[in-house]
Amino acid sequence: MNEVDLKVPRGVTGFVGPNGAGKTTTINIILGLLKPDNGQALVFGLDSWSQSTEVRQKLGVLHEEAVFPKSFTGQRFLEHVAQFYDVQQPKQRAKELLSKVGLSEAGGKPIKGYSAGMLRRLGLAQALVGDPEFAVLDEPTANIDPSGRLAVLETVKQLNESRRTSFLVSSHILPELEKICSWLVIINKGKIVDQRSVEDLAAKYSANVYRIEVSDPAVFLDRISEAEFVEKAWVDGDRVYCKVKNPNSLYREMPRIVADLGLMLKSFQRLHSTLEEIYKEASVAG
Amino acid sequence: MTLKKLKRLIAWELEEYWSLPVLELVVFAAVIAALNLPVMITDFQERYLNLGFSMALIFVFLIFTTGSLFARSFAGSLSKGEMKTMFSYPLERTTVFISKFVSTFLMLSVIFAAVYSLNVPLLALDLSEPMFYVSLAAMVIQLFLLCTVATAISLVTRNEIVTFLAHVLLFFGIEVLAGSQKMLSSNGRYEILFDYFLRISHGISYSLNVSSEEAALAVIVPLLASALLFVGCLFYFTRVMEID
Repeated sequence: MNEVDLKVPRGVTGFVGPNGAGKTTTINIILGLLKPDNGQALVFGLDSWSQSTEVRQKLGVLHEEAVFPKSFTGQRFLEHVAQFYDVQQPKQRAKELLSKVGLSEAGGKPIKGYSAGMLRRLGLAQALVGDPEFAVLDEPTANIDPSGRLAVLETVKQLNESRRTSFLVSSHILPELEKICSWLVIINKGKIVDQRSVEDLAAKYSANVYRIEVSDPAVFLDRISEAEFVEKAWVDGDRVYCKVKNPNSLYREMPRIVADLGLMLKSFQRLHSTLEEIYKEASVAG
Repeated sequence: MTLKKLKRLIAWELEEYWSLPVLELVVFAAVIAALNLPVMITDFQERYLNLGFSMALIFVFLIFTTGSLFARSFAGSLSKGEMKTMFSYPLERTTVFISKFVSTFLMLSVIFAAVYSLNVPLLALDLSEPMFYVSLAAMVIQLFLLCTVATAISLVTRNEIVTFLAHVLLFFGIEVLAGSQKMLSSNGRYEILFDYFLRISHGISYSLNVSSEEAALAVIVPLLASALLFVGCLFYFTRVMEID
């Protein structure tokens, strides 16, 4: 890893990259589990290695393969963790969090009986025990079934909205991240390829495809296909889709064409790519 | 390091140990201790010699128990990811290390104390007899060495099974190879101390004729080795060790 400057604004930030890109290493450095070979890693302005306890006081963490004491009940485990954060009423906090993550009923049972989905939710709860401003979740939906994954993501979304907790979510499952992230960090080969809001990334990396709805799509298609700035145009239903080389030319020429043909313009929209497509584009560009 | 967090961590560790078959371990060790007993002898010296024989067997049992408990506490936590989870919380590494060491040492001490106290009725020992406490202290010194060695192996190998095997083989190897060099083996050092204090307190020596220098060395060598290993492990754990 080299000169990684991770910007994580308030909200839910996706942290994506291929296997071996450095996601987990970055998280481990943030937590002071790994020492940088050279220089220093600063988190909240604190040295992540020598001041790791102070850093961890401000953070909540769910590791990719988090292991919890199997003989404890979920409730007892969270009570212990709450005491590490000097929470005033650990029992109360444990109960409250178990309820938040949907484990109220299982809270009194030993952790060894928990399913993979329940363990991830318990992991989410323990990451939030200290009421952190910021929580790091490494592959929070790994090894759990689709309904379990959905439940974890819903919980993250709700917690972000209700408690204003910000999250850094490392995941390979981009369609899932798309549902909850407002900011995205793309990492590859130990370097940050790009980091900005999902909207800005979409604008930057989306293919220049526009959807145009006019009163007569067939007539409009004939005309627009001949334009120099259009790479490809096609009709789907009552809409015309254009892939353009130069968007500015489209913005300038399209109203004129519509007017010349005497058509009515109903809607005009640039199509944003999915997170998966954006990630591919950004990786190639990076 | 805050004392409050240390206490909480020790409570956590001990609570985890509660799930282990501790009672079964104690019963097993007690059976070993009882099996070793010869016909009851009323003579004072013979009774305490029997305690010495009993300790030799208990020491073998302690080699296994120390190896397995410390391997679980350090190497096991590191390899299974429990330590990584623990290091996600605002706990100083020193606190984590000391809590793990103290709780495992306490656990072993409870097991040892339970087995040791069995000798009182079985050998008709006198609790006001100084040799009872000398024997106890001599064993605790050896136990401390066992614990620090197991910790060091745990941190180097980070593998529970390898730690256990290396620990057992190392101590058995030393016990077997030490032969007449009593200062090198734990049992030998125990015998030196036992013999020396038996002579001091009762004017009896059963075979070794230990000098005061030898007795001092039998205390200093294991304590110094344990202290050095402990400090080395603590330094590595808090300043160097990375967790992936």
